[in-house]
Amino acid sequence: MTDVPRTQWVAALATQLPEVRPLVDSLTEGWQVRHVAVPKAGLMLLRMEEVVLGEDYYLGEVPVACSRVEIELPDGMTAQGGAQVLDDDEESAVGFAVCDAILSAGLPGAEKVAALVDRGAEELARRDQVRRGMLARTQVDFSLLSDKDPDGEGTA
Amino acid sequence: MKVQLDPIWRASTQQKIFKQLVQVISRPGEIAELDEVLGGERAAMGVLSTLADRMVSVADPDGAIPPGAWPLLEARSAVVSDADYVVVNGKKPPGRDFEPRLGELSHPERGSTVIIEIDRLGADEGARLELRGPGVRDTCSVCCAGLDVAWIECRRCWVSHFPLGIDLFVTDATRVLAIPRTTQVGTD
Repeated sequence: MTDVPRTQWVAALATQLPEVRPLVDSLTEGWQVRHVAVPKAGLMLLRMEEVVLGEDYYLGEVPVACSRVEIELPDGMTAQGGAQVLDDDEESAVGFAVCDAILSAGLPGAEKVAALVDRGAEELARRDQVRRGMLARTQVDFSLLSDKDPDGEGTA
Repeated sequence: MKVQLDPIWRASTQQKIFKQLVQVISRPGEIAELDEVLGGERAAMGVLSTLADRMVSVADPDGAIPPGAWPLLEARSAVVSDADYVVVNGKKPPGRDFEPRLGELSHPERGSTVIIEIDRLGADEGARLELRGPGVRDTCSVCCAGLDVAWIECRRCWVSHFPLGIDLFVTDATRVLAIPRTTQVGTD
């Protein structure tokens, strides 16, 4: 249905948020959607490991919302999905979790979610390319600042 | 899209239940009615949803917690001797190996809180408990239908080395009563 790996679905869908909500509303009509875990939104400390001693430190806070849902169709079929996003909007996380459940279980409407994921993946690739271009322009060649021969022979 | 979440898992409900728990633990023998906020759930689940989070552990030796509620509780499952909270069926006496955590002298707050589910609180039937101690004016009498008095006898032993001990919440379908470790309980 989509070649995008499941770990990338939410990131791809996050680029298509205005279309995710109406799609989820239309697909889940008549279905029962339950929270499996209490949805949460707030600030999370981002833990990093420094490279010298390998000790943990906190880089700062990031907004995080997460959700786990279970969908039950009128015919009794059930599927679970989950999402964790860098956002403080709980409802968005719930919408992504529903999309995750639909797509992973191949529920009715999965092809529409897959199309959104594919479009989102293309958008992510485009943004990544732009970002790489911006980063490339910031690269500095420090070798010119050294008066030593890179081969260790010393300067003439 | 409407996503179902039972009222007891909402923060606003848990705040209301917490307020009631503070009241009943300050006034042992007073019974708080939680029916309005439980949304059909049992009072024991309302108490547990309010008190438990991912930092604590819960023991459920009688299988009182539905499997689907564990992820919502977020608490770790533990054995009775190692749990912060224990939920039990008050109709059955405590087993021989039932040994709740009593805390340590340096950390008496690590004693377990035991939630005992019974049939009915405050009706004129079942075991009659006479409560006295801090928070009780003179004595207070309360009937607990469906409570095996062995729980009260065991509790006497568990709280005999104050400040070590356990705190009790006794619940029926919709109501809750607290018996902190400072309360002396007599039965007739």
